[in-house]
Amino acid sequence: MDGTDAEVIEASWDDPSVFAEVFHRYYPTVFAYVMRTVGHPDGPDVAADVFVEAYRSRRRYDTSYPNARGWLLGIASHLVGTHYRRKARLRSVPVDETIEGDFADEVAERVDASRSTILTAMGSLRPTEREILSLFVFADLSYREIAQALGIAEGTVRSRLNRSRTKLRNLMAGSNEHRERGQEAPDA
Amino acid sequence: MHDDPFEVLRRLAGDPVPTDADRQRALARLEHAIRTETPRSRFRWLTPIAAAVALFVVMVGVMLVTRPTAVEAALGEIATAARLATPQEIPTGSFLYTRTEETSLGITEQGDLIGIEDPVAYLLPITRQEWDNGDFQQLTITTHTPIFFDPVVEAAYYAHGWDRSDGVGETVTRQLTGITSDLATTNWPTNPNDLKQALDDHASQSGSDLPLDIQVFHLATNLLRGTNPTPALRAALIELLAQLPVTIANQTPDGSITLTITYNQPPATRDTITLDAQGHLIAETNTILQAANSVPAGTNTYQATHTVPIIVNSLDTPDQ
Repeated sequence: MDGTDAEVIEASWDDPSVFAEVFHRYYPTVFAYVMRTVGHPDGPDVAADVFVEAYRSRRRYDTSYPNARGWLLGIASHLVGTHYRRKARLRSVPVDETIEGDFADEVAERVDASRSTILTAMGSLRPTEREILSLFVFADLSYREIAQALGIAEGTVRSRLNRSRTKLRNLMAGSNEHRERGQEAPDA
Repeated sequence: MHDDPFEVLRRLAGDPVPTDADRQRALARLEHAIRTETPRSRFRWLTPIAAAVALFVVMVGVMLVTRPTAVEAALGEIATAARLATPQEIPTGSFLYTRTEETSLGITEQGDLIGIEDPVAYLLPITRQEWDNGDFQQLTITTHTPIFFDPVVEAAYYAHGWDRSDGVGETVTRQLTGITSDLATTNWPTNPNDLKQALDDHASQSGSDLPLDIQVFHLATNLLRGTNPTPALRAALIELLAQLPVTIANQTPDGSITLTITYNQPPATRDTITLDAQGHLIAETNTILQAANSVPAGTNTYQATHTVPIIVNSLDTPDQ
């Protein structure tokens, strides 16, 4: 059906099948965001869950928002966090440690060794820092949009992103230094 | 490797595209959810009622126990003035102009600045000018000379070219079209209680781990800062602030008021906003209350002053 996202969602209150239109409009966007943050093999399932969760929450959608992209990405961000917490519980170890370990392990499997450093380093970020970073890097939201989406000050977004950038840069530099030393060692 | 880590991440992330099989499986799950929802939905109407009752009980309890009458009185006066203001409509070819002077705290981690053992901090001031007519935005950002707490750090900063990466002394102008935000395009309620509920709902969808009151405070601040609210909405936002656990930090004879809200998640932080007598947001600060990442307690990690928005007829910097 035509109409804004809000009109489609409102129509789905009475005719649930209409909600499939939201899926057709945003599945590629949500899929791309989730795959960038979760990857294989769980990414496609999480992306599918986003629309099931959105469907179940559709009556809480504020129809004064004509565009549902931010709402869906907010749900996606929440489910990505839930995904890592669930995996942590399954392994029965402290949640924070496992979130970091899982994230690092999974992304490291998806890239070559020279670049896994930076993604491993993402595992060292706090969950809130990672959430902001993900929305900035993988969803291309601006400082102000992230601030609005998460209900935090723009300055907080900026300082957390600066901190994340510094952490990642340090770890990249440290890894390069380590590699360079490792390459020099045999000659010594 | 000198790549910006965020750019590396973007490159690594690529642009994943779902296969037809991915799409079909996801759609099948959604359709299954649609087919199986009906039996459970009969009871779902109880949830919002229970939530509304719980919220009402909490609000009544909070109002009875901690009703901040001084805050309500002070904000009530400003809200009345805001409600009586003439709506600020932007004629065709004109723009709403705002100038912001802001300073953010930059922090490096240990060893990041070569030659300096300890983490370092410095203040980076910028001037941000914004012209906005709803469909079009022009942003001009000038980055000023940083302020250092240690001359050794200052010397290392320039020696390693960090001034270039921070864009010190540069002015960048961007013109944007078609940029809208949910906050700006939403028709927010103008009854403060309804508005509070709407912002609670908006915040609860954010996934943020901040307390709800803090999130609502930030949303209200964002609305006052960047969306040219109508007089009725501005008044409702100010009345809504009185429902939050804010305290008055300062009041001046010209009628402006500075409000403070504090939260204790580590690191504990205090946010302040200053409203003028008509309810315009004219200043804000974020202050860290516990030392963290080499930043001493009491440091402002962000501070900004905003001019009251004015209508201008060109994209030149107006004389003020």
